[in-house]
Amino acid sequence: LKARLLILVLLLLVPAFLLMLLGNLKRQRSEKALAREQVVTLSKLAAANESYYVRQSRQQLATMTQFPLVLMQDRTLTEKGLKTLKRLQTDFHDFGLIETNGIIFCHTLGSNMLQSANPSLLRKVVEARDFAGTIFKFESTVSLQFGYPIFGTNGRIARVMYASLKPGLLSAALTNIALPAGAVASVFDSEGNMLARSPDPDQWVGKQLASTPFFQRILADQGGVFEAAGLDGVERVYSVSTVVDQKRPVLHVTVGIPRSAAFARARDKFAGNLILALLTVALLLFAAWWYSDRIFLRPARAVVAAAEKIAGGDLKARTGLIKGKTEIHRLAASFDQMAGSLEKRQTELQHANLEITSHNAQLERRVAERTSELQTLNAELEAFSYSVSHDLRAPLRHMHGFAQMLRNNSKFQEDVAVQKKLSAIIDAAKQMSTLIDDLLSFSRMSRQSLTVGAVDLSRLVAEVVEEVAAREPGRAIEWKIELLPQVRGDAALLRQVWLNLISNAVKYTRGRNPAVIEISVRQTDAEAVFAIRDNGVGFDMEYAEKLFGVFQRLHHADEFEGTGIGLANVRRIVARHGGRTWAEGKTGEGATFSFSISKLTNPT
Amino acid sequence: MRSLNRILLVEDNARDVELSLAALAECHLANEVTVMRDGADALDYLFRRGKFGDRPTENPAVILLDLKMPKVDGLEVLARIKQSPELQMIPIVMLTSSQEERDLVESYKRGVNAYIVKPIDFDQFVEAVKQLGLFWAILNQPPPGTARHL
Repeated sequence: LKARLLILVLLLLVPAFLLMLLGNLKRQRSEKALAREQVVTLSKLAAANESYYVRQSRQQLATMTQFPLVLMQDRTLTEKGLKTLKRLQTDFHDFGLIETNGIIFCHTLGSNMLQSANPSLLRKVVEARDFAGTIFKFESTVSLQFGYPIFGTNGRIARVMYASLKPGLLSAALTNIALPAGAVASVFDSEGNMLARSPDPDQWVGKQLASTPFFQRILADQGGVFEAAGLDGVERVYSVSTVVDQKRPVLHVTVGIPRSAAFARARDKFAGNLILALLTVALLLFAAWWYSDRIFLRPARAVVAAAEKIAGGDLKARTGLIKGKTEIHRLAASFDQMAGSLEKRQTELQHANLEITSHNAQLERRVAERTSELQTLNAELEAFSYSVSHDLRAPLRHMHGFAQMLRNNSKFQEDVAVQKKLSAIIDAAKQMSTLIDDLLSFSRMSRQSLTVGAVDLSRLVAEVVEEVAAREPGRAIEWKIELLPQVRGDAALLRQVWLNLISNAVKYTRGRNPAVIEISVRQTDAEAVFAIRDNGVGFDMEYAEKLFGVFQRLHHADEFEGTGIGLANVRRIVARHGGRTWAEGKTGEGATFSFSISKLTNPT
Repeated sequence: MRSLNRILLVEDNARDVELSLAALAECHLANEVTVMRDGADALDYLFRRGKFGDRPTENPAVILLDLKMPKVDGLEVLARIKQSPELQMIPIVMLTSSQEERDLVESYKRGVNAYIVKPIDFDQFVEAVKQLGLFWAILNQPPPGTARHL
């Protein structure tokens, strides 16, 4: 998050940078123009300085050549005269007279010092028939020599008078100009000889540089400004000013300011701006960091910390950031609010839990009470059924026994009416006994716990069919039995179900020839549905549900025997196996009894 | 002092006693029967206590014991007999109206020798008693100290 914020700040700064660069470019351009002006000024100044010596020399020579002494043949006298003149002139190093044959007639440097004159000077002067100058090197000294023709009476050049400027004078003239750092001022003669330089005159003065690109450039750009690499290889902005004498170029004065220096100010300014900009950026970044930390991240961290605490279960945790109007503060405030309601909810929940716990305890108490009540009831029921089975049966047995004894008594053997009544008593007792047995078995059916296992119904049904068919061996019964599946359940109780249903089918098809009994199964994922269909007497669908009630019968006992407990037992057992029971039929057209056994729920 | 009968019938219900005797009479065993009308009397008789303190020392060949009786019930009597070193050899047949499984299980746990549910049908009852008497009172080789005379 913080990084993103910083990137955003940097992105904002990019246009500012571009503007700065543009400004710098403009400034650079104007600085460059300024530098050009400066270099031109400087070169003009230098040229003016240098031209002074040229003009001075011409005037001196022009004046001196008017003296008669210059044509005199007395060398000693002439020499003496020249030496006197030299003393008056501080700028000159030497004066002398050259014969047209190139031999020096006399000079001021003492005897034997110079035998032959500077040949190029003589030639130049003779050619021009006027003042001319050339470089003069003698031993280690380099100086500029100017020559002036001395005409004889015949109008021909009789002698040439020369004057040598003091070595270093031109260079010194250059140093008088205040040159910027790294700037170079040079003086060339028209032949490309370096006459003066500032700085480092010793290294350069006296060199023949006519063939260098730099001097070629000077010749090409007279009076102009150009940028080039100097003789020392440094890139500079150069200006050339030419010192002219009688329209002839005598000296080329160049001043060069290094490009780096020329643009230094612009660069300095740019650097200044850059530093300022960088400082601004740093400041902005710091501000962004601080701001994001203070205004955004710290609250965000507070929210996160509070959220973690709450996640850890400490619902009392809050960000504590109530003041502030930023989104994050509002978020924090909302968070606190949420945490508050969470805590409240938690408290409520705890209260509710406590209540539930106490409710549960109460409930459990009540369940325990109910259970014990139920257990009591169950025990009572058991005691009841026990006494039913024991006590109720005893009087029946007595009735039956004594009636039987009477019937066997020889006194009543012949009395048909008595025999009939005794038989009625005996039958009634038997019937009641059966009813008691059925009732007991029905009540046992509900209480007895199931022994659940896999039950192979095909086998079970086959056994039951065999057993039931054996009871009525004379009957013609056509059995159609499908292959039945295995189910989970209590084998004994399931056997009871099949026994009841199959017995019923056999019983109620009495009189049909043949009786047809079909047993089929239909399976889904959830249950298996079994159907026992017969072609017996059937029943009225209006009473279909009554069939499954305890002691409910649709037929008279003298028509079909039975107590009416069988189907009630079937329904109860099937229900305990998670299934349903139902019946379809039509009077006189047979009946179909169906039941399902759940594959999903365990028998209970 | 008359001699000891071979069959001890413990039965509280007078009608049942009559019916049982009638059934035993059918197999000519009625004269061999001593009847006790409750469990307490039966135990006193067997252990020769109280009013039976002077009965002969021989034991009955078989005891027909009703399950449900006042004071001391059949299971209790059965337990006492089977705990007694002198009496535990006497065969005991439970005669009961109850078809309850727990009575049956409880009886066998306490060492009963046979268990007969009194049928409603008198003829069947007679048949059952006949079989019983035949086996326990006549055919079975009784333990030593059992009444033998007839």
